[in-house]
Amino acid sequence: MGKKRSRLEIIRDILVVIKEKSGKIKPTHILYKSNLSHQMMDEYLTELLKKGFIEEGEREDKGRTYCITKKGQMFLERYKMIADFTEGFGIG
Amino acid sequence: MTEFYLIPTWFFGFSSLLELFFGLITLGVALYAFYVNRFCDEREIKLFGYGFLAIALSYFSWAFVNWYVPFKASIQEEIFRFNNYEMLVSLGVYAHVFLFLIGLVTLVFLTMGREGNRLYSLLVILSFLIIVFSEQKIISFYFVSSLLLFYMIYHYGREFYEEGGKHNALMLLAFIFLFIASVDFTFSAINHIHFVAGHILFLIGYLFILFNLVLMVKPFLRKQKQKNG
Repeated sequence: MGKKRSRLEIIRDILVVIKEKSGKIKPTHILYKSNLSHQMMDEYLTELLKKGFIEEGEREDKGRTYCITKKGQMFLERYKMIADFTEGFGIG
Repeated sequence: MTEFYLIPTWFFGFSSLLELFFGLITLGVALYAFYVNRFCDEREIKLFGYGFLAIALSYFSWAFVNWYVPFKASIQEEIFRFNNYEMLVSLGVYAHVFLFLIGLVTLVFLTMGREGNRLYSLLVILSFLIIVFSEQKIISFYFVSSLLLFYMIYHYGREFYEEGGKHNALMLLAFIFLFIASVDFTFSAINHIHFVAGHILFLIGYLFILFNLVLMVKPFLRKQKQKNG
């Protein structure tokens, strides 16, 4: 069995999924791709919206969608530095 | 009153420099934590930064006291009593005690992985109550600090046992030295050698933290250099 993902890894995985879908993705796709329960995914999406890493959009044909913001992209770019820090100081 | 240290007169300048150095190392950790936090907005990283910032400020305060006292008083007896000095010095010492404990409690609370303010408040209140009601405040301060540092050893010991890695090893070693230093300071009212030895042990502990920080920042700086060059 693989090692349990950390919070930061889950956030990274969700953001990568959103980014890969050209920035617009439905919650069901996130659920499927990020391998989380519905409740967990909702909690993470709420947190990501609050932090300004993603934005919620509404499209007539697709319903609720999400796209990554500049801040979210910055998180992905700096992910290694963030992970190194939490790992290095044992606060992950 | 029994609130005093025994400090060799020749060590006053060195102690200020060392405390300034400890302050700069811990400030470096705090600033890097705040820098990293800009990109992730994580509560743990923010708390870690505030914890180290409090410790840094506590050392600056202590450095100020040890720099200021020799100019203001005769210290031929090598005894530094809180109640013999003016308000400013007492404030500096108590600021050191308050900020150092706040910093350590913040780090301990963070490693417990709990949310909410109740546990944090309890830890702060208990730590300060012990000192407030103690007759020998310096000894009780180092006793509480030692307990908190011992918990940090437990945390990093467990991290090292479960995850391994050089970073955990460095942090474990750092907190072992900080713990021994804190225990040693408990005896600084008995013999001045403990005040000197405590500083040296603190220095070794903080050098491990500095080394860990450098290891973390180095690849990032190298990458930035490549990007710019």
